[in-house]
Amino acid sequence: MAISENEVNKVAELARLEISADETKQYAGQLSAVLDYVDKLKELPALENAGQGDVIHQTDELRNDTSDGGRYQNEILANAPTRKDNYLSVPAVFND
Amino acid sequence: MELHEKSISEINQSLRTKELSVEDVLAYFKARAEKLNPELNAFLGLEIEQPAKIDPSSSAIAGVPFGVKDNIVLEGRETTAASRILKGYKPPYTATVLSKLLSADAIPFGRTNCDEFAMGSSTENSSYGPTLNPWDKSRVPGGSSGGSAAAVAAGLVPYALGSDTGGSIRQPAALTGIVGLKPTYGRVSRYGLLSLASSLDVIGPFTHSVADAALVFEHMAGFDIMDATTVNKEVPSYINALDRGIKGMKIGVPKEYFIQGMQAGVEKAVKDAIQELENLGAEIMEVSLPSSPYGLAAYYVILPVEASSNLSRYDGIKYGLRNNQAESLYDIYTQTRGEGFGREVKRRIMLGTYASSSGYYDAYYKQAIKAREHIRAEFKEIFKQVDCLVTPTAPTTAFKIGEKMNDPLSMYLNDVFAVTANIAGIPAISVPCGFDEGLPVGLQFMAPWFKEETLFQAAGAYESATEWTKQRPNI
Repeated sequence: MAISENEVNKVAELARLEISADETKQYAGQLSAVLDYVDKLKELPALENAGQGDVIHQTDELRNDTSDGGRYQNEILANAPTRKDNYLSVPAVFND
Repeated sequence: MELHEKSISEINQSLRTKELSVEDVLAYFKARAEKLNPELNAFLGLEIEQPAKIDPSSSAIAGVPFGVKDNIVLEGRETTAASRILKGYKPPYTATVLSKLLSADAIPFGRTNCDEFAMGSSTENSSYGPTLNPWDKSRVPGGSSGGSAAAVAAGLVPYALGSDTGGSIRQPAALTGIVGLKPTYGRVSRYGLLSLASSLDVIGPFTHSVADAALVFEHMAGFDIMDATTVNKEVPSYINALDRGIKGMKIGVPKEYFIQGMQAGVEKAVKDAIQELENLGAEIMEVSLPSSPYGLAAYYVILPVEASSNLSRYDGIKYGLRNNQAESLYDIYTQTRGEGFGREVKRRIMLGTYASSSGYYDAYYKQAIKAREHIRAEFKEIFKQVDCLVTPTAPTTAFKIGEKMNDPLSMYLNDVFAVTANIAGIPAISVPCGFDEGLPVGLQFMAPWFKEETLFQAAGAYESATEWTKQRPNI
């Protein structure tokens, strides 16, 4: 399955990735090769007992949905490129 | 015998008898790493997290240092997953595996290099330069946990942790002549492992011997309330499995794992190893896993789809890099990600975005999930007939640096025998089984879900009967 350079640019936009013209060209060929390879999955017949595959997790064990008091707030904010008081800050989303 | 040639138990024993102090051990490995790492590039940093007080008698691994792949977090210590986008990131919490090892008085020693976000099979995709294979410095150590593998193989540290999403522990272990364990999915907590493909990722150890692997693994395994995919099942004593022998054990040899195009010397070493297992009393049976050849194709859909979603969090807002020229929010996302991610990461994010996008989801992702179910069902059936399976770990020995960098598909094919264990969620171990033209070859055992014990039993018997795990590179 060949992917065009236009499709590569469209996917890059969906994935929020800026890519160069050189990358666009390279990815078009490489992604096509990988998709050709994974195309062989279509040869597999449908499975009779589909959805019975997970043999590991018979039950779910979940922790209680309780707050631990936000003890990491400062450490988390310390990693942010920009912050304002106790918030992450970003440029305005809406103009005017 | 020099310190870096000793087993974990031997080092711990020397600490208990006070023949050595913890400071002696750390100084030895630090000096060795400082001497050899500038060339090997196995470590990205040599931070040592020494707890205030270490009691060598508190556990069998107490006082022994270990390397940590740079995608497992330790509170306050920079963790980058070998990516530019996380440069400077200081995690506010500690991974459960590290908490467990720290509470056994083990000492985290250095961050090891890897492919960026664990995407790769050679460690060439690191933003901080490739790691070299200690057996031949013109070759890769495998990947993605190549830094951990090279650090252990070269004796820079007694053992190290890696992560295995599609062979990233076993393939580098095979290419560097050491032991690598990929546990059952759900046996070890992933809390604190930077996610690649959450339905496949597991953390496991790299060691010189099967005995060391069993010892370390006892301290890593178990249920964790912070990871809902771990399973609340008792952790047995793995050490006890080592000396049980394999008389009467039924070992399957799946014919789909001996393919055309496999390196002849690899095939020979593996066939000799299978003969050795038979000599030790195992019953060798040829079996068939007809869906296994679809494993790699399924993997290269499931992984990118999950990764493209997991990596959406690296957007220049919460941590790490941000492009300062960007003016709008959209530009912050695209420019930060465009500049912060390397080519392989971008390639896989795009592949995953494409395969999960409207119109292609059924053709790719649904097909891959179907293949996963076929593969799991076949393993389930086969393990009614055999106790474990034996295969080559990788189809080749270590390849040259640069050889596969422009051909992603040929790079991906190096994991063709390893990915099925991830797809099925079963445990697998790679042990050294010989050399081809001076380069190590790995033998893989795969066992049923939660039967790591069987791996240690089979690999332990093989290790006792051969000398391969005692071989060290001349470095």
